[in-house]
Amino acid sequence: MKVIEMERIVKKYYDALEEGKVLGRKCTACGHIEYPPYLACNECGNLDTEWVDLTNVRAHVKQIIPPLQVFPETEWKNQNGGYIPIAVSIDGADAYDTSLVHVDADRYDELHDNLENVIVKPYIVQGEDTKVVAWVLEDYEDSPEELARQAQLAKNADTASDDKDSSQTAGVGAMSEEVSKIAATVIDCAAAGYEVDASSITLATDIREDLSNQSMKMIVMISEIEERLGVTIDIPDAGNLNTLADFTNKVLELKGMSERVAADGAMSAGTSSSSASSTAASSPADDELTKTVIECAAAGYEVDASTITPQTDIREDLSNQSMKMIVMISEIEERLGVTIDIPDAGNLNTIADFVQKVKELQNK
Amino acid sequence: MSFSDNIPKLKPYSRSVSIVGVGVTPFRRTKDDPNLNGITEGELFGYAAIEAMRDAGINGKDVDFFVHGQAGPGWTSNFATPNMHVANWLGMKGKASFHQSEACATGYVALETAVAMVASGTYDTVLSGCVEMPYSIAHPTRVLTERRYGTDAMFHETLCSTMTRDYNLFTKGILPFHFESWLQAYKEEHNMSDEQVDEVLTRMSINARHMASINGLSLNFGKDYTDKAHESGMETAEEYLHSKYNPKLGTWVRVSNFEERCDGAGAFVVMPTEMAYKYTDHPIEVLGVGHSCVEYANPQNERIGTINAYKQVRELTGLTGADMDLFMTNDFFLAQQLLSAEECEYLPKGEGWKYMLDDRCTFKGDRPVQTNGGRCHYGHAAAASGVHDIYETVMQMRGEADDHQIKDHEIKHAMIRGFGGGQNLLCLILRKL
Repeated sequence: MKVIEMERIVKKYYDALEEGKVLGRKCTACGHIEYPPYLACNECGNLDTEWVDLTNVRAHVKQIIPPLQVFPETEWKNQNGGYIPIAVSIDGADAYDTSLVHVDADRYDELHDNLENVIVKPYIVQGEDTKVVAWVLEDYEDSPEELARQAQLAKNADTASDDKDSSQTAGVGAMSEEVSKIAATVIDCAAAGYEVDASSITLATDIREDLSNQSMKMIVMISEIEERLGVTIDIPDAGNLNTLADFTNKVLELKGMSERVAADGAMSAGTSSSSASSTAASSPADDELTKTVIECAAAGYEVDASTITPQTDIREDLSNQSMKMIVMISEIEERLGVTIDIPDAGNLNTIADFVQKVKELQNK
Repeated sequence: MSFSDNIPKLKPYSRSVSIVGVGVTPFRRTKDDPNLNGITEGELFGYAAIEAMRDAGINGKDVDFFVHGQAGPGWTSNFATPNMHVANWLGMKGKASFHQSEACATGYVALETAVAMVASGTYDTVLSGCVEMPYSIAHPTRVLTERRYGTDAMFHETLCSTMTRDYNLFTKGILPFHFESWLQAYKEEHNMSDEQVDEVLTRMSINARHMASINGLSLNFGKDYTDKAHESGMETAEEYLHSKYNPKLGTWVRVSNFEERCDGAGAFVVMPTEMAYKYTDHPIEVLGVGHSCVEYANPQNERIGTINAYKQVRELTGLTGADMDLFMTNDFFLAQQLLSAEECEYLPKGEGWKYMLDDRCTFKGDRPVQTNGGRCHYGHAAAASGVHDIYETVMQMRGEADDHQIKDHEIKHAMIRGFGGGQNLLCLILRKL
């Protein structure tokens, strides 16, 4: 196989989506369609397929599945005007699992009971990294408001990208003289290690993403840092450092300094980040909310509520059995009228974290 | 035509292979257990492997090759080649080995692989085992006795890593827990009401928990749902299972129908059947292993893969599910017991749910299924769970399953339906000689 023959199928698929086209592959022997596109035919085993444009294809729904209560994909649902998981069947292709968007989950019964008459079409939406394909009902058309919203989403995605770019030019600033010197030295050491011009890199520079993933270059950089700044950085530790701000902060930490720098050059004096658990409930309403969450935790973890405080860590102090957490969340949802996504809850540790989460949800 | 028509026909083994020894550790949440907190993966694997060798009447010198399995050594242990870490623990320094990793199907692939190695004639005695410690995670650079709790967010990411990131993870129609599609299809094919589905799942929960509660190896040894109900001031297990302690996770599935993650290990020893008679009067012969992989994005992939794997092993052996005396199955979601038992013709089509309601699938019934209590109640330690299914099958065949021994009939043939990684389906048939 020659490089010139190695077409990047996945990349071409996503590039086409950016241009509003949905591509599949078609078997040159039996005509079977591979969607999403693969190299060979799964129907007859033929090794050759060719591109086929499916932008205007229409398909049937083989199965429609009620959305789950755990892992409800809330963000996806909110971004796309509701969704229901479906298996889509394009003529000549194997069915595949995907999602029907711009449809309220309340329509599940109606669609399910009339499934043979449901026709869907592909619908390109903005995903986290790239545009992706979901499906909509055949008669769905974007309203002017929806088009404006999508334009805003695309703009937001561009802005986020611009922000990243601009942060990389922020450089060193708003720091004490000593911290500024250390940061500038780290940048110089990186320039030496990665053999690039120091003016082309900033504290926001990610050594692997923006410079090189060759670990030997990182070792050269660290060696320089150690020699010039008089610290020792363990190589395994360095594996967890990404940006030059991370390396600067590691040096500050090793030197026993409490200041920290951000990728945009801003400096903070504290060493501890604020967390929900350090936010004490103060108002009577907050007290009542905390009491309710504690009661829910007591029910979920089958312990006496008097043993639980806002600082109680559900995993460390109660149990790491996630099913108990789900029982607790179910209680919270019922008693406090909010919906907590289970994946989100995976990042909440203390009772105070859950109280804070409920407050956020109630204020939305 | 469909891709399932491309599944090959299996050929008979070049020589018959049998299981002669089995060993397991109990399933526990080791970090929460004062007697086990600090135990390592190597020790767990070692205890299971040594028990399997003792059971077979051999030691490390007699083993020609060993296979190590762990669903995701990188996920929770920060290992790349864990087989290299355990040979010294087994008296097998210098012996050849490899590691295999097929998520929760690893335990079944462990048997498939070991049997193939012996059947080929290359090796006579192969030890194969699996270990998993998913209840906590290792620190990448600290000594193995130090572990920390993972969060569910991490677990969710781990599950997502079983899905391909070319296209399918991003369709949002394949949830990591895309677990109700087969149940939904079954319900509709057999005109069941929501209430009937709930009744069946409740009954299955009660029975599975009871079997786990009388099995000393189980995570939930000691208490069944009636005990739990009484502790909570309720009269019956049914009341408890419809209370706030058992909320719904989906449309039908509740907490009691979902796997319980824990730690553990298991191992077995296989050798040519003619050689096995030197060690036991009743080798457990492996008649065949059907195997089909159907990626997540394919609708009802677990069902399609089960059909394919079952068809393969049925055609190879001439035996059907109806010929089996015991059915073991991967049951992350409890309904899988019913669904896979019917798809493999162990229970009559459309009638299985009635068998469940009538308690015919417990160790006391005439069509026993998953008699150790299964992943939702016995516990689930990823790769090790498949080996525990094999262990349970062997013990039932030998008549050594203690308090949960099947007494209604002799276990001559058993089928084990494996599943894991979102896509890997195996169907194994064992015969007691």
